[in-house]
Amino acid sequence: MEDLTSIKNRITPNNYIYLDDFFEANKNVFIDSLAIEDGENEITYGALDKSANRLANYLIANGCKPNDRVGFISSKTITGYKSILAILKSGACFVPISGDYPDERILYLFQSIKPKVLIVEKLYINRVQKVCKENHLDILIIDADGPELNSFDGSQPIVSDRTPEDLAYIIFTSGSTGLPKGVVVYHRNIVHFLNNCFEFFNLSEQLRFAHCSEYSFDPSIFDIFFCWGTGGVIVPMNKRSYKINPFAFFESKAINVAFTVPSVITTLLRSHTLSHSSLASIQHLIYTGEALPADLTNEWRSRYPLCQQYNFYGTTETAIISHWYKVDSILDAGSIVPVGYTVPGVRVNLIDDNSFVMSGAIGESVVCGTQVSPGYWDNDLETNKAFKTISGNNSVEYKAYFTGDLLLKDKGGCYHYQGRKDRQVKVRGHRIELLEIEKVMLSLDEVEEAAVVVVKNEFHTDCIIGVFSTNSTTGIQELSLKIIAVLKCKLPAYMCPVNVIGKTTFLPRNKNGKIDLVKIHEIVNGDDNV
Amino acid sequence: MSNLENKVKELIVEVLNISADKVDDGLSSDTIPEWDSMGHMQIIIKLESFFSCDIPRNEMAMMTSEEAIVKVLSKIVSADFL
Repeated sequence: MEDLTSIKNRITPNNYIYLDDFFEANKNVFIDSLAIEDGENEITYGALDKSANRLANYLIANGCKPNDRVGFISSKTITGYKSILAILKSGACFVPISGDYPDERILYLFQSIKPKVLIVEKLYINRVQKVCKENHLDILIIDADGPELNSFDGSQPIVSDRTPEDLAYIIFTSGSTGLPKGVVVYHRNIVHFLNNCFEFFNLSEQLRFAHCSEYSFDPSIFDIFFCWGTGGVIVPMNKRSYKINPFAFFESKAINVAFTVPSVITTLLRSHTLSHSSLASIQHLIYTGEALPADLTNEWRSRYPLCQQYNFYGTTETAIISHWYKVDSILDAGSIVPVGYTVPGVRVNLIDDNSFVMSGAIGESVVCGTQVSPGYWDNDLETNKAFKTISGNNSVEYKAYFTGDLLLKDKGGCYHYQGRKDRQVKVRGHRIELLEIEKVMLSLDEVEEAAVVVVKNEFHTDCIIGVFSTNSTTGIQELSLKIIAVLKCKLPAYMCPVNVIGKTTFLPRNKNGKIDLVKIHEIVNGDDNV
Repeated sequence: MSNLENKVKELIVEVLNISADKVDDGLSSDTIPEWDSMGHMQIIIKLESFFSCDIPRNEMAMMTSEEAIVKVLSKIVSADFL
């Protein structure tokens, strides 16, 4: 094993400009080493390069150029990773679209991003063609493994006129207006974060990186490109059963680096598999996406003292991660691990009532710096709400992203997460605007009012529950089933309430006339079907 | 198929609301999109309530297919179901 310092000497990470540089700069160094290992299927850096070049040359031949959007729908297989790499090699911007989304959401994303091309895994081709045909969308659809690619050259495509302000990717997140928002990320934004990772991590090259997240959850970008940037192997966690039983994945894959939501590790703990010898291969365990209980990091540390644990926090709008924290000691039992210190180059101000707050007080986290996204795709209304210009102490104006997250900065400069300003929640790492779910419920004529809350079930797992009122003559039970069916048609599975509770009376209101969410929680907690 | 196997299949199909054309011999979380982590919890709750049993925590995560569920339940449910 070679220390990372030698890689840095060889490829000078700070010179990276484009996201694909993390692959391009290393592909010849590791030409015969594995870049992806997916069970029986594996591919070396050299073979992946040629295969992605063919697809990139095909895209270029079909007119793709910098800033064009190319959607891709694929499972976490070699085909999926090849597609991302090929899109970047062509200079275009990749937009991950989950094959698990309902047709209506897929159609909305197509209409929003207006892709030049769609790269689709064989499994989803018929469905995507049907959606496009029924809605008169004239988009070129490519089978990423189709025979037509063989006629294209496997040599490096030549793309001119690229700049660091070109679009690298667009990732859609839940939106409070009832429609998802596409976060635009420039190469400059994401490369700044990944270049910083070389300095922050002290890891060896050619490690085995678990790819736990879906493509549409941005920790994927770290898993893929920082892995390739260090000559590592991507090992996709790509069976649905792995989400229920993550041990089945970890026990056979000899993972060295895992970037995951804490609930995956909690599941290992609850299934009494935490002390299994196969987990000892994990050298770097990075948590993100949820509050991290110190009890969990303490438990892990007591079993694997040589494994370095980290808590990472950030938003898609700030290129994945704005704060990071190395868990170097046993922390107070029952406490929550801090989100840590800002990534170099990221500036955070805490603001309350239009004023900067001092250390020790809580304020909304407002982020400035190289990693801040330019805004939401084709959505000036939402962009102007969240991205504003602020004046710093020296009267210089900065473009800033208002995260909606409430943080507290302690005297040592370490940040602690304190909740949200609005009703955005995170459920198993997915960022969800409860308003988006309520708007879908309200789209049914029979629904007069709707409120959505998150409660814990008997397994201490977060569950989304909807409550509605109606004066319809349709039976409550029948209407509830109809609402659930509509929700499933419009929203991804992770956003669908596990139950909806109907009332024939108006929902309780507070003094301001708003739906009283405390009382809605009481209704939900009193329902036997939750 | 034993009584237990039949009942387990029936309960999974009911909880996940699986359409008839997707029901085959070996239901599994890898092949049924509705069987995600939340669907899994709903299946466990339904099984515990129907068979009046407590499924050990260390077994729950392993029960990701019809076959695996039957294997665990055959050790803990009343003989009437076997």
